[in-house]
Order: sequence, then structure tokens, then C-alpha cells
Amino acid sequence: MNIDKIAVICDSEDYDSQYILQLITKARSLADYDNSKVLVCCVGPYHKEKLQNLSRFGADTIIICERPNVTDVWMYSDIISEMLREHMPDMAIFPASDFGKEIAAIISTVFEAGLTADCIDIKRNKNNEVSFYRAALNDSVIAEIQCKDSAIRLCTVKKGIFVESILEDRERCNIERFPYEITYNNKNPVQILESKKISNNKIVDINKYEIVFCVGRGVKKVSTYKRIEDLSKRFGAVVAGTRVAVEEGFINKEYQIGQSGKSVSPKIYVGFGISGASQHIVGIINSGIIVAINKEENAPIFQYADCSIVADIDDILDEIEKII
Amino acid sequence: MRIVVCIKPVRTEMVYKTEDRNEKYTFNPYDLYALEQSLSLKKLDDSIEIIALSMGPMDAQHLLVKSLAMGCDDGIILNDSAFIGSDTLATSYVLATAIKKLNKVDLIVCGAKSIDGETGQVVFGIAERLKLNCIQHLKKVIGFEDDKLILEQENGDRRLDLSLNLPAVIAFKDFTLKQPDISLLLHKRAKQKGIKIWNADDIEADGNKIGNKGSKTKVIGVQNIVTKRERTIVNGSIADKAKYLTELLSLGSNIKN
Repeated sequence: MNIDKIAVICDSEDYDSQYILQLITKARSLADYDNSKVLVCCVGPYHKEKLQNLSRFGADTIIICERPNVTDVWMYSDIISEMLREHMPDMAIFPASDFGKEIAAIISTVFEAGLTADCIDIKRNKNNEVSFYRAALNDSVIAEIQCKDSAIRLCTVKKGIFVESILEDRERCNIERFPYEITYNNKNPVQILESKKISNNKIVDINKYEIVFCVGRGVKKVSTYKRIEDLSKRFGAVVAGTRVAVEEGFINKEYQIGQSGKSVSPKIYVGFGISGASQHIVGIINSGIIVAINKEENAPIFQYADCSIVADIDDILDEIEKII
Repeated sequence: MRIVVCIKPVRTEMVYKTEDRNEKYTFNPYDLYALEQSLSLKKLDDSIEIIALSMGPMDAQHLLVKSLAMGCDDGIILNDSAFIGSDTLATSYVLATAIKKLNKVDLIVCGAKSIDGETGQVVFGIAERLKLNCIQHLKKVIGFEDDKLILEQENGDRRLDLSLNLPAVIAFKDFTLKQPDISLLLHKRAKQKGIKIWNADDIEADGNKIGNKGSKTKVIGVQNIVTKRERTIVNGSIADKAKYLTELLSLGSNIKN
């Protein structure tokens, strides 16, 4: 089946968020395989600059339903469904945010279409098929999934997997207003009785750091952690960690990287005492340069790292501190 | 009030990796948490009827028996060779079709996701098929108030108390690895009571929408974690290694847009 049009479905928040730009960049590269078009579907207030930004990252056509604050998943799905029915893309990419996953699940059911969750890669092959890749946690493998008998191929993609990139010489693309009559009526809205903030931490975005330090099982002492933290400040890096580091109390869950944590694709990733259990690797797979420091020569991470440093963490920190 | 709890049987070895357990299948830990939350509702109101529903192989029917022993009023296993190979789309179809057969269901309870598939897609699939509202990320049920369900939800950095009209679908956020402690007597009674076994005909399922046939995704293959890179092993003394890293980081931190 031909792929003529690839849609990117924006989240209910900022439709030109870094996350969406990542998806548009990927859609563009998939579309360039054979001159297909990229359609971006937005719901929200009309902001000319934001919409034009989507074009710079690869959109050919942008459709926007001008409705402020659509937070109801059912209404949002109804709007997107109408957009899909009218424009008939062969494929649609959703962000794997909570909201994105819910609307993708609803739309998959409405269209009886195949949906692959939490993709870490998408590839087109010569048979004009699209393969979706996702990690299968327990098996520590990557599964390749394709749709069959599906009018539209759907997927949700994790944040931080693809890297956004502006294209040179993009022509201004087509921006269309999409009219929507509310035919959908939620007879059963949920009422919020009370709302409490439960943590004082700001929402963390590790994706904006170009250098990520990651702390693993090999970092045992608080003093070692502190030294890594100091080093990170010097280089403008963020300190993240594996599930073990969260459990040890070194880092907050917001900074966990891995299958059930976040994904990152920084220019440089440095793993301190990370063994390389596959769940963590999945979270860093698209990083530029992966540097691993571990005193165990046979740590699995060395098979995936660009630079392998076999050393004791404290020793290497001693030497680094002498240099700087 | 009639509640259906959807339970997925998963391979025991996936949940308890280091232990040797004699059952091939166990409760999906997210569904077990949901089941326990549902059973706690019975304490608020004894007239609440709870039905455990599973699509799975006959090897997993003991989970339905356990659900009975834990306090469920009924246990149903949806078993048919035609169900085999169902992806999330076909699964939500089978479960929704069975629930329609049950009639007058007020609440459908699910776990957040399964520990093997981990898609979390079935919950909203069921809700869409039954045209019911759906709330996820729930920590617990607080209680009832005039036919509305009061729930505690945790999403991001907010804790919300929500009021939901029934009928509806809900999904809890957490999981539990602690297996229920069931007395032999309760287990024996449950076995005697027996569970129901429904096949595709019993639920009047459309053969084109179930199993492999009804699935719109297929797994082409699996591969070990991917693209191993060109490895550079940094040799030399510890001081050499430190120098290499420091230079790399200095270079990296100067790369700005």
C-alpha cells in the first residue's frame, strides 16, 4: 500500500512543543523516502508564528481546529477523527504522552486500525511497508511491528527518541482552518472535586540538555554522587539515573532514564557505573556519543558505548578534578 | 451494582524472574491491584457484585478460581482457539463483546497496562467500544455519593478527587507483586462453585474481529538491542582516561546552537 501522506497529531498543549517538532522531523524524513506529504493536525488557538514553525521543521500542510483548551479526550479524538477522515493519511504519528496515548487508543478503535505503542524507531522499507520498533521490556529485545489490513497505520512515539531539526529553504506551507461542529456531546463529564499539588518539584525536561550524566548501580556513595553533580554543573550537564539510582535516593523519579522512565538523545551521554541492562539502553539509544565508565570490563554497556572507559568511578573523578 | 474486573493472565516467569513457581500463569500485577481495589468496595457495600473476566488459555483458569476465593461473585474465562493471537484491538473487542453479554454492567475496572505488552491501549479500546467514559491513573476509590463514584487520581504533580457518573470504565495506576493469601477452605469452595467458560459463540463474537484475523498489527521479528556502535576503548593510565573524557566534555559543552 502506498504511503502518500503521513500525519503528525499534536498534543492538546502547545502544538509546536519540542516533542511535536521531533515527530514532524521524523515524519519529514519518512516522507522524503518517496516524496510523500507531511500533514500536521492541530487543535488550539491560531498562532501564526507557531504554525509557521511547524512548516520549518517539515510540515507540508497544517490543519488547525481553532478551539481553545480541548482537554476532553473524547472531543479531541472526535476532532482528530474528522480530520483523518477528510485528509486520509496512510499513517499517523501521535506523541506518547498520557493524552496522546489515550486519543491514539480511541482512534485505533474507531478506525479499527493497527496501533503500535511507545515506538523507538520507524522505518520504511522497499516493499512500501512501514516497520514500527518498540522495546519489549521483559525480553530485553526490540520488536518490529507492522500493520496488516489497516487503512491507517498508527503509532505513539516516545519523547526524546527523535531529534528535531530545522530544514533549510522550506517554502511556507499550507495552513488551513478546520471547521468542527460539536456533534460530540459528553453526557458524562468528570467533576473535579478537589485538586492538590503533591510535589514541589518543577516539571523536569532532561531533553533540553546536550550533555547527560547518568548514575547507575556502580555509584554507591553519596560523596561520589556529589562529585558527579559538581562535575555536571561545570559542563552544563544534567544528572539523571537508572531505576537503581532512584531507589537509592540519589535522584528523583523525574530524572530516571530507561524503559519505564524517560528517553534522551543528547549529544553526549556519560554513564557512571551503569551496567547496561537493556531497559536503560532503550532510553539512550539515539544519543550522539555514548561514553561508559564502569570498573567491570564485561559490563554489557560497553557493547553499546562509543567510548569505553574501564575504571573505578572515584579514581577517574580524582584525576578529572586534578585536571580542571 | 455490577462490576467487571478485567484480568490478563501473564506468564509467571515474567513477573517472578528469580523464583520457581508451579503455575504457568499468574495475575498481571496491575490487574491484581485493580482486583484488590474492587474487592475493597465490597466492604463498603455488600450488595456489590464483582465479576472477574479474563481472556486466556485454559491453563489460566486457576486465576479465575482464585478471584472467586478472594471474594468475587463470578469468574469467567473467555477461551477459544479463535481468540489466539489477538492484538490490543482484537482484545478490546473480545472483552467489550463479553461485557455486553453480561448486561447492566455499572463499572468496568482494569489495570493500567500488562507487564508483557505494556501498551495500556486496551482500557480506552473497551471504553470506546462500549461508548463509556474512562478515567485512568487512579490511586484508589474513595467511595460512593448518590450513584457517583468518588476516586483519587494522581497525574503528574497533582492529586485530584474526582466524581464520576456510572456506568464507566476505570483504570488504576499501581501494581502489586504480593500474591493474595487464600485459605484452603475458601479455595475449595471456589473450586466447587466453579467458573464459567465462554467461547466465541457464547459471546456472539464476529469471527473477523478476533484473534489473529481481527488483529491489525503483527510482530515481524524481534532483535536484540540494536545497532551496536563502533567501539573505542580508551586505554592508558587512569590519568589518560580522565584527560580523554575531560576533553570530550569540554568540546561537547561548547557545542551550542
